[in-house]
Amino acid sequence: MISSLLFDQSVDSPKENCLSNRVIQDLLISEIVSFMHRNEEISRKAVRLLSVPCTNEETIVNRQKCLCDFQRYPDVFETLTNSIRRIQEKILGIQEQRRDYRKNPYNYDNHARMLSVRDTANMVIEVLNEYSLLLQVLNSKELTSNWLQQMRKDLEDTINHPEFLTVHTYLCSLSELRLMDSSYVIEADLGEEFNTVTYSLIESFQHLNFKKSPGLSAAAFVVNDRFKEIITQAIDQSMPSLSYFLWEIGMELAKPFLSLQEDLLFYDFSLRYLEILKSKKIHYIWPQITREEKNNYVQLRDIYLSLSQEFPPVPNDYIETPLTIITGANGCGKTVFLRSIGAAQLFAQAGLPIPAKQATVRVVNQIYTHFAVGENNKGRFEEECESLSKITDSITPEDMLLLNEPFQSTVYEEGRRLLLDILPVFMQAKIPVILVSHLFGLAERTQISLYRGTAFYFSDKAFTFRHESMDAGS
Amino acid sequence: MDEISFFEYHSERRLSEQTLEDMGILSLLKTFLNQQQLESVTHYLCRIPPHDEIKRRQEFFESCFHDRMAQEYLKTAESYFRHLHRIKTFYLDKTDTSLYHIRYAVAYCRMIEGLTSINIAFTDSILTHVFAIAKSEQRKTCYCELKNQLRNLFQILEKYRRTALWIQTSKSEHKAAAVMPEVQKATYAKRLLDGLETVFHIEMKEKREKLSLSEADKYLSFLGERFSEVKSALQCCTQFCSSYPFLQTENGISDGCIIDSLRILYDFLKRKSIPLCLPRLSENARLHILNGFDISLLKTKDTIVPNDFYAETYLSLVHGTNSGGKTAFLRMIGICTIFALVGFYVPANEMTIPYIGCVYTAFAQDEAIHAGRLTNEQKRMEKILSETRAYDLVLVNEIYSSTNQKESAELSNEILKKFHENCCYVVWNSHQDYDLHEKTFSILLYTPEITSTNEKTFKIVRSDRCDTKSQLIAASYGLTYNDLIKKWRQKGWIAANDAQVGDDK
Repeated sequence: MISSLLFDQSVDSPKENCLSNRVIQDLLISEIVSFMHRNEEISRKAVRLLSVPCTNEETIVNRQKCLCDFQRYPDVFETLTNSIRRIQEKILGIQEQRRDYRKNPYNYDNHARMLSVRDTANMVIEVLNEYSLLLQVLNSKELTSNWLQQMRKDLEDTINHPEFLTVHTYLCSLSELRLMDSSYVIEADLGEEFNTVTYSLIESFQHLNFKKSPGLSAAAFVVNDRFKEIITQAIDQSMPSLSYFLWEIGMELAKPFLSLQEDLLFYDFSLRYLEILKSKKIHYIWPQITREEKNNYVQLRDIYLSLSQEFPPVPNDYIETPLTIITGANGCGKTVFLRSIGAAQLFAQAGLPIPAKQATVRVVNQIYTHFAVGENNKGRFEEECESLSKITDSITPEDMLLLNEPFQSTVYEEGRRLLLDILPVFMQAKIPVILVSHLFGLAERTQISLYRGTAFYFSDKAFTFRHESMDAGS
Repeated sequence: MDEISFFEYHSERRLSEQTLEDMGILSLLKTFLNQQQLESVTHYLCRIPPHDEIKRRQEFFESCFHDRMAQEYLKTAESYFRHLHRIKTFYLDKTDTSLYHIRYAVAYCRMIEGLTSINIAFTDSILTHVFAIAKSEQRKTCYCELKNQLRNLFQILEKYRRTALWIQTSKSEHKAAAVMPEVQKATYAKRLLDGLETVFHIEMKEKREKLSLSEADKYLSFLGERFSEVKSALQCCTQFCSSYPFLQTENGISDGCIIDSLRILYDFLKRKSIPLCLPRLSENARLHILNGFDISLLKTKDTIVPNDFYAETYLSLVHGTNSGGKTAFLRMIGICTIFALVGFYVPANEMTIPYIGCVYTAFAQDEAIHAGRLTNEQKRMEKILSETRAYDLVLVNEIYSSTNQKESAELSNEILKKFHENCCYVVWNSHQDYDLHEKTFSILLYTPEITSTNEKTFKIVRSDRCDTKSQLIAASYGLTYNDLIKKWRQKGWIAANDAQVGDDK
């Protein structure tokens, strides 16, 4: 059965492209997540998933569709979450019992052992019931997500499997198995078929070690001393194996549900995110994911400000170019514009919608940020050089670099000269760079615009950036 | 208890904790002080005393860190704080109410015991000073007598205090009916105490008549206060467990913690071979530091290059090589001045300080979420401008770098002019070319020293040259056109025969 609603097991390689803490901090990801959930576990999970940009388009689209389905049919999400919760509670209960049994086997008489078997059987039945319940809910919906469709198919297959019914019947009968306290009479509604059923189960779960027990194959006994001994022995031998055997079945059936638990935390966070955007009446869009086209946003808003402010922030348009320079008056929102592009990229690659009118997002492997920092031990300029140097060591053309006011800790002229020195190399290596800087006056802008594919975004105090066309070289 | 403190007084001028943070003092102290000690030192450093108080403190520290008696006192203080720590631990794990009451009593008892011993030692150390004065004024006998009598009195007070506490302890155990005869004893002791007040006042009156010396008077009244403290402790007994006990005494004992922590700092600096001196305070002097050390660097380095600073004019501009020690220079001035203002030893060979009121810092900060950097910096500067008075010291580090050159120069000139008008001492660290600053006021220029072989000595010298060497630093990290081309050609991202964009330039 499908084991993840976040990753395509067939195509997704192991995740190594985790973003650095600095990027998460610069793009305010933890702060954004904290608006959605105060729950530490969910927040941590969400930050972890957002900090690993998903690079497979199919997976991203699948996530989008899955989230869409969950949003459209809240009862599917609810049923899934509740089923998992119930199963987990049951499993924990049984686990506790098993642990106790293993620790103090002598505290358990035959009656207690029988009860333990019955509880385990109940758990398996519950899991099977959850299968039916979930299928019932999924069947009534028109699902668009491949993953949820696959899950429905898997559930159907399992439930319609010839052995499913057998297991079900067997377990139901087993759950009625009980040992009467005083007279040692076993009342087992197992019948003659029981042996056959048992063996067929052993065949289907080959790792199990269940032995046919003489005590259990009979319908009813009135026990004399000799027979009591035999039954006691039989129960002694068979009950632990039977319990283990049932436990294995239960775990096998519950496993797919349990593995989905972590994934659902992420969807829980995402649904909350959609809810907030909706309540704030901020228009959001499921971005079109591509590998070939360039990033293109129409009326993109900063996610952090969208969530934190009472009124929606000023939207801006952006079209990706090899080098984008954002400049303008102080306090006009240069850093916010840069951050909005970075955060939108991360959210889009996590399969989440972004607050924009229209969006096309090119999949990148990694996002690097370099934001100006406060004073420290080494001297600001040297620290900046070290950090940028590290970025140039690991960055590739499939990545994205966001620079915020680099080299402002040295003389203007030298900072500018340094930037003019290294920016062309980034362009040559086709590494997309978005740069916020006030170091470029009109003269330098004319000079830079000689490099092919440079775009300038300029703003006065109105927080709206306009694209300045100075592309003389093209 | 506030009024008996050695370091507490009414002070208007306070340093902000941000200033200590900017100076790197807090992060250094964190490396060898615990939370409580750190809080005490921060509290101490943030309150700038009146100028006449500085002298008194300098004398106190001089005797405190060198006198045998004072060292004894410190030892008592230390043991007392161990007590207090244990008491706090007791309170943290209170589980059972009746157990809690007993613990409360025991803990309170121990606390007062510690307090009493610390007070005796404290008074002793003060009396030593009184004795020294008396000696010079030929009043030796008189003071010796006073000292002995005061000590006796103290012992009596301590005895009764213990009794009072013991009553309290017994009360807590009263329910358990374990100490009934003891409770009777306690009641008796309480009756004794009722009579004590009368006896005390008569005795005090006699002493006052006998020793009509201003110092004696002062310490007798000090004792009077202490006596009322005993009384209030007794009153506390009657309202058993009604309030949290630490609040009353914690202020009083903070002195001990301050001295203890400063002693640790003093020893730490001595261990690191940093010269320490008590600065000369003079109203008409110029701020002068000889071989001052930026001790915040001790966190990561063992050797620090000392620097000199002489404020001939109100304004000084530090400019030049990146990573040449400009900020460390600024911190050195800040740390020395702060330590001097609170009457502590400064990490320098020699220092003269005028009557500086307070120290303000404006250091470049990280990006804020809701406002631009420039807006934040301007807000901070405006706040500083509104708070500064004449002769305050303002340390500015690399601000206004997030705007263009012209605007930055205009803003800095405007601010410098205002500070100049206000007669504030300003040390401005900037990579801005000094030519951009207006010449309507005199300004001293400092720059990191570079040897003929282009090496940085981390010495800051007076110079008009401005060469930031940023190209060299960037080159050492491979951030040049050629290095990057080479690096990325090797990775195959730039074809070997690619036309160089630089050619277009």
